[in-house]
Amino acid sequence: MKKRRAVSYEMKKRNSGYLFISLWLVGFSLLFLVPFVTSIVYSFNDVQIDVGRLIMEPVGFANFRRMFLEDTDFLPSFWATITSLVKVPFIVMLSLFIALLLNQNFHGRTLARSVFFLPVIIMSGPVMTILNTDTFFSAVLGSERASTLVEFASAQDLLKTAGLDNVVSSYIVNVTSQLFTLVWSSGIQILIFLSGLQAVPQQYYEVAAVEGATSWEKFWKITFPSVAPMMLVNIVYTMVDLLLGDSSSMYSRIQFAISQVDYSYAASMALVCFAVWAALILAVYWIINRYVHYTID
Amino acid sequence: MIVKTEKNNLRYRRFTAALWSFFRALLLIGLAFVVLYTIIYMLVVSFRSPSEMLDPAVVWITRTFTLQNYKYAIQYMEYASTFMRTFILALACTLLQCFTCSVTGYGFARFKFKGRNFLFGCAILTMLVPVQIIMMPQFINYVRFSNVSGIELIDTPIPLMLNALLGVGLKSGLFIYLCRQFFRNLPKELEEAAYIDGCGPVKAYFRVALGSSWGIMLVVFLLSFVWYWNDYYTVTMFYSSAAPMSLQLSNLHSILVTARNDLGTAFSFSEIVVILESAALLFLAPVLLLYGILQKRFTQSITDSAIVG
Repeated sequence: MKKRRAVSYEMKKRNSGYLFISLWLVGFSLLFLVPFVTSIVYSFNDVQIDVGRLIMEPVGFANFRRMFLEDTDFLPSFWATITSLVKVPFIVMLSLFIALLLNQNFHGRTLARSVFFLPVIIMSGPVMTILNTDTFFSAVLGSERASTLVEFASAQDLLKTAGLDNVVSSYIVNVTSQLFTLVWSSGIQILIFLSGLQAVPQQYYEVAAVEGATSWEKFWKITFPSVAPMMLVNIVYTMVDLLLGDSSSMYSRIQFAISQVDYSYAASMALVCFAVWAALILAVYWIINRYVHYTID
Repeated sequence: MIVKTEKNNLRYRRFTAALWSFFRALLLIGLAFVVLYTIIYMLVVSFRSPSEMLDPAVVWITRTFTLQNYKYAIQYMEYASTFMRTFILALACTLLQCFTCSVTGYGFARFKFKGRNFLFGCAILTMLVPVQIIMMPQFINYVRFSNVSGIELIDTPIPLMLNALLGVGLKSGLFIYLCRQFFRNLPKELEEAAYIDGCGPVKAYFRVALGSSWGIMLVVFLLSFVWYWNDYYTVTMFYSSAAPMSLQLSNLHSILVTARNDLGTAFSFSEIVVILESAALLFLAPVLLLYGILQKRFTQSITDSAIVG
């Protein structure tokens, strides 16, 4: 009797796993997988849009041949998108740093948090377009950027005299001069880190204080391991955002192709990108996940 | 002697604390400036009379303060009615998405079942396909469904809400992942206590797990709301008659260009700029307000999780 109950409990737990993900599973298969497979079919066809339906004509690998052999813009923007991933560690570190600052108690914290939330709203919507097309704003911004560029050029000289070779110093200067873009693309990550920081039980810090731990030790022994799961989310999300966000040149190529009703070509570009992006992200996820310790498992 | 060192120690600590808060303020103001720059520009310009855009003496501070730009923006965006439509639609989709992503994340975090890792990988990879690629076949399928069943789905809120409810809404992958990471890190004891008290998994989720996840649900809610508020691509595809505020805002330029042509008093170039900037602020305001209200709850969720931990 006892044994049977134990087995049925395990079974029940397994089945409720399926129960909990059932909504998503239905949506994933019907509203994602089916359209995704359809778009793979599109990429091997020539697709013309008629009123409410599509006319397809099989063309084999013509779209892919066009991508790699004829389209001279494809490979450069493909590489540009991949190399933009060097920003990932900087964005994640910067957002952790800002989140740590915002998590402390000080006057005007609400205001400061709202400020760093602004990029989330502005970046992903029509406000960005308005700002980009406002010539007055770009004039003001341009002069500001020019002045920071001058400063960074002198910073490069300083690094050179400090004995760093050209490649390293220009790399550092390149990244720091992008601080503008880095701050603008870390709004979501800051919010995610903040939520992670607030879930750290305060008792840990109290115990550490009693044991006489320094702030440095508290950070590396308590804070960092506790936010590690959220750090993994942030790394994955930052990669996704750089590969598929508005700043990605590959994404704008796909968008452009769709706006030109070049549907099958867009689908085949998306397919190639999907394969490469998926491999990259799964590799990063697999490597980092081994170092993340969950409190329970 | 001992008293003296104690005093010195206290003084030293106070000094470092003051020094740190000074540096923190400096750092935060410096970093915030990069963001604030934009919003200050928009604020300053939106209260300006258009003629000042071309006045080189006016860089930041206006000499003429006017609300006329906002009046025009409200008039041409049909702000009040647009706001209601957008808010209701975004809120409905957001709530559905929050619920599904939380439930799914919990399922992935707490239960062991066959194919869990594979399916979770799939959930993450859904983020890697551009929305536009998925929308087109989805649209065709919805049209087909309508033709077969006679139930008209296109140009109703149903496709958007169905996508949200079934976990394939805007960036659902990220939200499922966030919830899963949170639940995975949440101590199990309370749910086990609930199990002992005779709760099933579903009851344990609603009674215990959901209650301790306020912090993360707030983040999911906010981000999801922002994306639904900003989205106009999927809305125009599935529910074009909704005309959400994001669409009104991105069309505002062309509306303004042609607005008063027949009256012979067309808007000038700088007039359009100032009206657009005020419209952009009107577009941002509700979301910022929402964030300001909700973020106070962030600190409350600390105490919640402290009780759980």
